[in-house]
Order: sequence, then structure tokens, then C-alpha cells
Amino acid sequence: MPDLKELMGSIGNWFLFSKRVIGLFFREGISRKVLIQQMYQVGVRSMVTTCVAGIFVGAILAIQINLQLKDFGAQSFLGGLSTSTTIRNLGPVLIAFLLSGRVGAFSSAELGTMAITDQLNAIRCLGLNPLAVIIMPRLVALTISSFLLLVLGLGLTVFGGIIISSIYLNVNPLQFVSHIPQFVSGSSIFIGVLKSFLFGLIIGTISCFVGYKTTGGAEEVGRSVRRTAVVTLVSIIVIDFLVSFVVESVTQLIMS
Amino acid sequence: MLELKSITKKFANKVVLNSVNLRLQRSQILFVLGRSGVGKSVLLKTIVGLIPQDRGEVWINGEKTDPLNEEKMVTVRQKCGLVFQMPALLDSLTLQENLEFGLEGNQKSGLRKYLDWVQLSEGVLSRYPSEVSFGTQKKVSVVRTLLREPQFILFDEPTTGLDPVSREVTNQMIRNVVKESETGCVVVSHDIQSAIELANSIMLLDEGRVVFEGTPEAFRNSDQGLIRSFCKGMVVLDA
Ligand SMILES: Nc1ncnc2c1ncn2[C@@H]1O[C@H](COP(=O)(O)OP(=O)(O)O)[C@@H](O)[C@H]1O
Ligand SMILES: [Mg+2]
Repeated sequence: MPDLKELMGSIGNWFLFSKRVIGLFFREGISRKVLIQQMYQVGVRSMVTTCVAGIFVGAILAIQINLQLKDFGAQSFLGGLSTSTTIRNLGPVLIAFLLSGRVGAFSSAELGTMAITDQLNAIRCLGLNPLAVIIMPRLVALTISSFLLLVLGLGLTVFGGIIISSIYLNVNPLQFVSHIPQFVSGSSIFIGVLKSFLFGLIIGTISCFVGYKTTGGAEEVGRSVRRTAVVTLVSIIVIDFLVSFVVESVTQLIMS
Repeated sequence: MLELKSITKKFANKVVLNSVNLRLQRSQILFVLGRSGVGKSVLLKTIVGLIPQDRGEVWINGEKTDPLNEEKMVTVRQKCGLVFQMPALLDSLTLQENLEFGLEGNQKSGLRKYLDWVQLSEGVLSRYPSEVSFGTQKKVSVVRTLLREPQFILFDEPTTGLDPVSREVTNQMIRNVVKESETGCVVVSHDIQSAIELANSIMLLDEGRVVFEGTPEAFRNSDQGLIRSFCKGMVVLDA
């Protein structure tokens, strides 16, 4: 159990690191070539994972929600309800979990290796700032790619729902889609997109921070990967809670 | 001149460097010897501010460095290059791209000459670090530093892990850079024979302290226990 002081210190350092790197992005910009190169690497590496995840998450939630609706004979609402729930609640979390294992782990291992083999120090010795030339492009590409992948995955959850409903739950695609506009409001989509962005940012900043700070031998790279995975998962849950909480409160406020 | 004044560095509670002094003029070669883990790499990284010292000062050409000021360290690192113990090339770039990374146009002129010095052919430069041998990677990392033509170069175990031929090539490269550019060289090494051949002075570190400093002759003739056991290693190597 790490003590509280250490934990707060780490969070503070992570925040300062992210602020500095994101500041570099806004001040110095990023070469389009480097950005596309990095995004391509991340995107291609995780495309299949994301698509599979999206389809199955949609299918799982459709089955679960169908169980509840069946007893009330309200199956015609299945498409609307399950899509809405998926997009604003569990969809982003589950897909972000998978991405953090895929994208986050890879990036912290890559940067950790660069740190312990003096590659980052060598860049310093060439008169360059590794935060600007190595970390910043990766962090930006990771954040954007994770965000886009999450949105893609969320889109595919609808397909997952449609497929499982028509072959297993006796709800035909047209029926499934017909109630989506009624249930999936602009705010659902906004929340889904907002969460996707925040989760992308979490995956990008944490994996870069932990990788960059790696010191010691090869076994430390392994430790960094594990740390990235754990910290990212916990942070995703916490952010999910905070966003849901804030949105609920605001909705209550507007309603009353 | 490169000068260290009572440099002290602790990690956790372990004192790695304990009040280490060092002076090096241009065109001079100083060999730093010592057992593995004694703090030789830490010493070199302290000089260029990659690891800030706890106490003590580093002076380069009469100017005190400030390791906490990254911007000012950039000029220090232009004057004083470090060739790392590991090749430390960027895996995602070709050897050529590694050499040109952050290089100014006018600095490319020496490329052919420096490749010659380490006996590398230009053809190999289109490959990635993972596709060439460890020795080739080390040579490329040497050239990367030579191209920037610093006034001082710190070599961290340049011949460890190399075959005897490459070792001789590396030693000749050090002679060349001293003769042609009046570069001052600090060479961390386990290779006593090279030290005795090349060095103007030899320094031995043990338990964080400088336990010997003097000419190669004095080193060879010393009756200090640790030096004797170092030299015995050399005799065994010779046999
Ligand atoms: N960044 C660091 N953090 C903590 N300890 C370190 C660090 N770098 C080096 N050390 C420790 O300092 C000591 C000297 O290491 P080093 O300079 O690499 O030895 P060598 O003389 O073999 O080059 C070792 O005990 C090493 O574990
Ligand atoms: Mg070393």
C-alpha cells in the first residue's frame, strides 16, 4: 500500500508533466508527418481490438437489457435503451479498458526502454528536449488515436446490438434502430464523446508519464507497464464516476 | 579546461561519488578505472548535467555549470559530448537519421572522415540499429558525438564488448580526435592496456573516492593492492 503522501506527490507530478507537454504542443505545434506516423502506428495496432471490443460490448449489453425488458413485454424499446446505455455508460469504459491494455502498455514499455537505455539522455546531449521531440508527439497521437478509436468502438456497439438482437433475441434490425432516435439524445452522444476524449487523454498522459519516468534496469520497464495498466484502469473508473456524477447533478439542477 | 571540484552524489542512502576532483586540459586523455558499479557512468553523467550532483561544482572553460538549468546545459553539452556506455541510438530511426538527428547543416561535412576513423562504410547507414551488430551501433554513437565537434568528449567504456580489432580501431580514433581537434578526452574503461598506451593520466575510483591519480608509469609501478589486482587482470589478458 503506497502511502497517501507518495500518491499525492505522483498525481501532482503527473499533472505538471501533462501540463508541460500539452503546453509544448500549443506553443510549438507538431509536424503533420510525425503526427500521422505516430497515429498510424497506434491506430493500426489497435484497430482490430477496438472493433471486436465494440461489437461484443454492444452485444453483451443488448442481451442484458433484453433480460430486463422481456418481462414487461417491452422488447421493442431494446434498440433505443441498450444503445443509449452503451454510449453514455459502459461502452466507453469497457473499450477504454481494452485500449489501455493495448495502447497504454505498449507506449509505456517503449518509452521506458528508451529511458533506461539512455536514448532520452542521448537526445538531451544532442541539445534537444526529449519532452518536445519524443514525448509530445506520442502523447498527442495517443490521445487523438485513443479518442477516435473509442468513438469508432462506440459506433460499432450499435452493430453488435443489431446483430445479436436479430439472430438471438428476435428483434429485427429495423425494430432495433427505430427507437434509437427517441432514446439516444444529444446529451447521450455528448457524454459518450466527452468520456472518450477524457479516457484518451488519461491513456496518453499516464502511459507517457510512467514510461518517461522509468529508471533502473529492464525489470523496471515491466514494472512501469504494470503500473500504467493499474493506474489507467483506476483513473478511468474514477473519471467515469465524476462525469456521471456531475452530469446527474447538472440535470437535477436544470429539472428542479 | 574541464574541472570537477569535490563532486558528491548519493542515491537513496548510498554515497556513489564522494568528493571527486578531476582536471582535464584540452588535447589530454584521462582514463578513469574502477570496478563495475563504482559510479563511473554516474560521474560522466554528472559532468553534462544528466544527473545533478548533490554537492560540488563542474567548471568548463572557466564557467560553472548549472545542472538545474536545462537551457544553459544545452551550451555545456555542445562543448562537452558524452558517448554512452550503451549505444543509445533511437530504435525508430535509421543509423543515418540517428546521425542527422538535430544536426545543423554545416556539421555534416565531417561525416566521411569520422566514418573512416571508426571504419564504418556509408552503405550500412540505411539500416536500423536493431539490424546491425552491437559494435556497429557503438561506432555510430561515437560518430554521432564526433560530428558535433565538442571540445571535450567523455567516452563511457568505448571498447567493452568489442573484438580486439575494433578495440584497436577505437583507440586509434581517440588518438585522431585528440591530434586533429585538440579535444580533451575522459575515457572510462576496464582496459588497462589501452589506458597505459593512451592515457596522459589515469584515475582509479573505489568506494566513491579517487584512490589513485597519476601517470601510466606511476600506475604501473604502484604497489597499491587494488592497482596490483587490476594490473594482474591485464597480465592474465595478455597471456
Ligand atoms: N538513476 C539512478 N538511481 C539510483 N541509483 C543509481 C542510478 N544510476 C546509478 N545508480 C547506482 O549508482 C551506482 C553506480 O552506477 P554506475 O555509475 O552505472 O556504475 P559503473 O561504474 O559500473 O558505471 C550503482 O550502484 C547504481 O545502482
Ligand atoms: Mg558504467
